[in-house]
Amino acid sequence: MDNHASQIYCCLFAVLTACMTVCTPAQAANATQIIYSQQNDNVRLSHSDVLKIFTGNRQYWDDGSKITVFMLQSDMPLHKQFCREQLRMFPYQLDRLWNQITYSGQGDPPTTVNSERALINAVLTTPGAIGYASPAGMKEYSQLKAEQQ
Amino acid sequence: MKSLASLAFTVISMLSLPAVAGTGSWHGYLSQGITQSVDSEFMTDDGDITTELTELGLNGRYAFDQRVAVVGQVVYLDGANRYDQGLRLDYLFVDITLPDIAKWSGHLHLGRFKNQHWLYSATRDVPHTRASAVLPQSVYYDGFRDIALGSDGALLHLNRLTDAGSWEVNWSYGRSRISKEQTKAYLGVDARGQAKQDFVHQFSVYWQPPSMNWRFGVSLLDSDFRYEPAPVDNLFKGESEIFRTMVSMEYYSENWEISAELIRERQRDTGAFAPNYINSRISEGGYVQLRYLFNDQWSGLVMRDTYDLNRNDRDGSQLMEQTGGMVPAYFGYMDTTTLGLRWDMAPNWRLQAEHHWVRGGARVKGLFDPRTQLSTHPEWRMWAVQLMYWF
Repeated sequence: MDNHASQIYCCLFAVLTACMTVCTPAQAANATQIIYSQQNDNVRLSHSDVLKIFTGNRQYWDDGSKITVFMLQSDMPLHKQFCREQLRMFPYQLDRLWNQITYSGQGDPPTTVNSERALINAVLTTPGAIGYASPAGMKEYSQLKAEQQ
Repeated sequence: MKSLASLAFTVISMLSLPAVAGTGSWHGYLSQGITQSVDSEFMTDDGDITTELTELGLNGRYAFDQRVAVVGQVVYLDGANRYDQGLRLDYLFVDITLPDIAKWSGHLHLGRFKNQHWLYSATRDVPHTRASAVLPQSVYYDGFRDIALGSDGALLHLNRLTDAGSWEVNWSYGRSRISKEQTKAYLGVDARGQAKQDFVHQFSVYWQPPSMNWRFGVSLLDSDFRYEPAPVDNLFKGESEIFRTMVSMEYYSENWEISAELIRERQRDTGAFAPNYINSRISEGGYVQLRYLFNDQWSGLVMRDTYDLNRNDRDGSQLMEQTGGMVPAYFGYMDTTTLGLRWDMAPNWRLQAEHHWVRGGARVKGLFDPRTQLSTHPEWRMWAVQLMYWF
């Protein structure tokens, strides 16, 4: 990886770490945390914002760019944990909501990936993306990237 | 149809604007099933087993910017005997995102919009969004499918998230086209003229507490229809006024969910069958359905649906008397018990099976059709198995 790419990753990690701190200030150490790649230090998401975004009621950032939502597949433990902790919903509720949004023409569904590492990577490398991760998953991803550099 | 053509032209014109740089996306679904009805022609004739249970859909959304998008869906439906087989423009509307006002965010849909007012109405013909292939007929009467699914007009959708829960408010006004086949289904095979919907005006409000495990709703519908007889016709000019009130409820738990909708519908018919014919009735019904999730792949469904055509004639005896014995009393009600099983075999793939035991014929299409009266027994049953994929 060249120096320029490394700097971008470092920058993204700095933003990401800040976002995680802002979004989930009072949660348990192993709680899921919201991550996003919005390259704007002023972005602050309340619980209400998170709920709106992950339930399709808000589809654009304040600067007018499209929000790209990433999620794990519905049957994965981390997704279930995220649904309960962040949205107070069950995965099947969220699936149904997005199906209704998608097939009645009100929006596009989240992009699903099949591992936490892929989710973190997708959020970090996609402009305007949002997703979630566990602290352990973030730590592992961070170590992996450090080793690659 | 003319207004729809104008809308389509406007949409195409907007899409062809070279200066506009937007984003597009598309999704779809396909489903194939087998089905049979026994002692009724609700699904199939003469108790045949058929593969006439096909649902295909393709939808697209093109967003010009964060405020304006054009959305459309085309479907091919074959629902056996329940409704007309063929290709349909399911919806095509301009979706305008409204500025937030007093913390309410909203959308305005102009064109052929989807009915957003009932629990399953927005995606009624999308197989994987339904609990069963055949929805509870008290509320989702398949004979009225095309009229109830959406309308040409305008829909306003508002929502607001508060500390006391989330609110959703929908208002719509429009009308739908009624086909010749539907006209005959409502008024009998002798109808040579054309039934028309003057308007349908709907309002609904839903509330979900902060815990997100409950959802409550109320919806109202007001609609007028008229019948314009053909120059040579056995029927006369007629009108129908319908006012529907519904309450809805959903409860979500980790391993099970329950949903219910209750309906009361006041209908007043004048003319059509005779110049001085007047019939006024209040229909009542509703359903409760329980889904139990055995694990992430398997779930089971139990549903009870009931409907009385006239709350003052729950056993249908007056109906039989008023029609001179032509319509049997059991067409005055319809009670259904359903068992179903679902297997989510892979992401975006599902196999679903269901069996319905039915008593009565109030929601069998063609109440005044002698063939329907002869083929529908007081007790009958139907089943369906559907394989579905979506993307």
